[in-house]
Amino acid sequence: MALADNVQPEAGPSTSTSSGLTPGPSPYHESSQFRHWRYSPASIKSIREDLNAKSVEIVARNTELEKEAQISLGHSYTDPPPPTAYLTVSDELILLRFYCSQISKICRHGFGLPDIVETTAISYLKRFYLKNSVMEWHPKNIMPTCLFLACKTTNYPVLMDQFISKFSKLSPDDIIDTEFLVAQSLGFEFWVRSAEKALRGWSLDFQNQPNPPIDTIQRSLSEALKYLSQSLMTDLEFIYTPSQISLACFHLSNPTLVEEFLRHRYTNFKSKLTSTPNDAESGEGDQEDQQELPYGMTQVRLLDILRDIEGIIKTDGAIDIDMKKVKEIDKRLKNCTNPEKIPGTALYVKRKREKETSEAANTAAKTAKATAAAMDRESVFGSVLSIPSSKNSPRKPLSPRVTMNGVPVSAGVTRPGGAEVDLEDDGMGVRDENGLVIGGKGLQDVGLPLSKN
Amino acid sequence: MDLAVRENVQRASRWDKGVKVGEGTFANVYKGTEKSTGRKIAIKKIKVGEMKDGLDMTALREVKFLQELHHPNIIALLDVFSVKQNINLVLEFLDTDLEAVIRDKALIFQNADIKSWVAMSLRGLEYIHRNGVLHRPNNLLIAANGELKIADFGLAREFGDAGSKMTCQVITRWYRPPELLFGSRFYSTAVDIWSMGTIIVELILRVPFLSGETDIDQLKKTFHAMGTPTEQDWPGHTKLPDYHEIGSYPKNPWWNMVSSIGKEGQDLIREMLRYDPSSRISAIKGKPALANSGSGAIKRKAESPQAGRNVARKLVFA
Repeated sequence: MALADNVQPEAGPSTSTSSGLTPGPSPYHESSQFRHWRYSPASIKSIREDLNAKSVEIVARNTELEKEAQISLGHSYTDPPPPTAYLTVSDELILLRFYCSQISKICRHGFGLPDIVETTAISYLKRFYLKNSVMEWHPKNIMPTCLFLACKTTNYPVLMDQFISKFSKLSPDDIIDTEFLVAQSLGFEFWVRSAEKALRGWSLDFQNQPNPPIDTIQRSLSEALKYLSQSLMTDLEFIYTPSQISLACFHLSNPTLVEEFLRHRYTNFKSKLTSTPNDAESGEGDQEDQQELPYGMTQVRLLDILRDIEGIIKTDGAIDIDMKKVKEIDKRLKNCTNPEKIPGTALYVKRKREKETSEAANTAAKTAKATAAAMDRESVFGSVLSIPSSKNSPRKPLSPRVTMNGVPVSAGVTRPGGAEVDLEDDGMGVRDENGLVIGGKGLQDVGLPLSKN
Repeated sequence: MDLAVRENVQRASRWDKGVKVGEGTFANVYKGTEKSTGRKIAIKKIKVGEMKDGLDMTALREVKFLQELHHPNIIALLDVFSVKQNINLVLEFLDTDLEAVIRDKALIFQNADIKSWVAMSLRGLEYIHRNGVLHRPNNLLIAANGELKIADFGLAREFGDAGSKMTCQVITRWYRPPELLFGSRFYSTAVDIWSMGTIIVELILRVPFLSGETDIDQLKKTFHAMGTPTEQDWPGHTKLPDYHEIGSYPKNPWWNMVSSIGKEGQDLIREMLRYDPSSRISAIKGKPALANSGSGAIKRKAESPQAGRNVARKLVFA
């Protein structure tokens, strides 16, 4: 992914130059999130500015083209809006934030879906708009698609009919048509490491000290979760690691708890260092000690990072959404959406027709080529053999093996409320001599009810 | 053109699709090449065209996990791109799979081969588990140089959070552990270990070890072979949702039938096929158990993919 080239492989914020953390010290460092979806605040800003500038340009050009197309069809046409009407980067962000908050609402109150779906869908939406502009694709259409996709990738699929019933103005096609675009914009990277799991991890870690304040941890956890929800509305996940964000949330809810724990961790670490100075292992040099620092950095540095994160949560995460402003932006957006992307515009129809023509031409060319090739072969080697040329092996070595050789068991079908979908019932050694699948025929999907029980 | 579309076009242009080598209802497989290097690759083209519920969930899961897992014993996903509404997965090309090796009676393989495959599969499994993923089905592919790779992540999932239910209707029945057959909805990496254990026995016997015709029959065959578990063997199993009495079969030293693999191998298999999931060996413990076992020869062979090479070569060039 071209955009990811300027990401620095460091566990802190990307502005830092210290520490020798390279991808690999933990599974997180191998994740696509770490490798491709981490930015410095400056690079996020410039990505958004570029996207915005580019779409203003495209929209302006296409609006002109739309005008011409309309006129050529004999329709009357009102002039395009003045450039001042275009959305700014911050306008786009306000709208994005509003739709992120909608995802939370729909998940919690509409479907009763678990947190993992909510956080994943919000990440998808935010990632999508690092590749696309709001003026090209309206978030009111992209948001439901992100949610629908997240349901599937997190193992909580909702049937299309059931899903669409929660969106009064959408049809299934609106989702299906943009699902692929969304998947593509995500670079087909679907696993989002949410800070929520890290938060629960911390709550366990906190118990790993002498006389752990169990009650305090319990109480802070629910409050920390609130801050975590606020953090979802910010860019934090692109800049910091899930564990740093979640620790900051704990720190916001109870500074003493976190600071006591860190003091314990770092003191322990220091005493371990000093207690084994003559050890052959630890004598190898400072470098190794550096790497073994708790959380890969000094306590001072970690607290600095927490403070930065908390600042962003308070300024960007906690603010209320100004509905008046959202409506005003949305109204303006109606005039500056790329006409190419609005079904029904003359330009949309024109582009669609062009695409169809070129696809038809491609298909025709392909067919012609295949026919020519077949003719060629015939003339040289006689008639084309219809059987595969492999000598005596009845079983083609397939790589990767297609899992559908036997009886397909409703592949791709999600059942009502089902959390799991069966794959073809095939696997090691389940085919008998006649090629029939004889193992595991009883595979049945029981699935998970979406309700809390 | 949209940025995402542009990136996609760039990616797609790196690969030559080549010829179709397999066809299924869910995907077609092509044997192609990387244009710049001429390296052989496999393209798995997942058909998603007319699905009512959009992109197929199995395909999404496979992509999701392969994007994150990078290990010598896991099939490498080299690229993902789309043509129209199809997702194309570019995977490293592998010549055959373990099932074919087991089935091909013309192939003779030695303990060293088996041990090498076991070591490689446990290494891969340990990595998968370390990354918080349950594999669940088992498809083991073998490269021309004998390297074994775990593939097929269509049914994989992350570990459930404590308290989140998972389906027990996964894994091909013959390789399904007893806790799933008893309907356990909260399970762990131990399910993958059981499956791997039964596959190892199958590698030695060259016939499936526990080939039940129904779920009940699967339990019966399991208990018939290994004895009915007692409360002591497997505390709490009678409380599982689908528990029913299967009859009491006596314990017998079933591991004698795999004695050809040697003592260390037998011990490992017994550890992998313990009834109680919580006392079943983990991949991380199984790995060194094999590599460090008494015999130097085993260690050497197990560490090296060379051991499996002969068999793979015979198969590929037969």
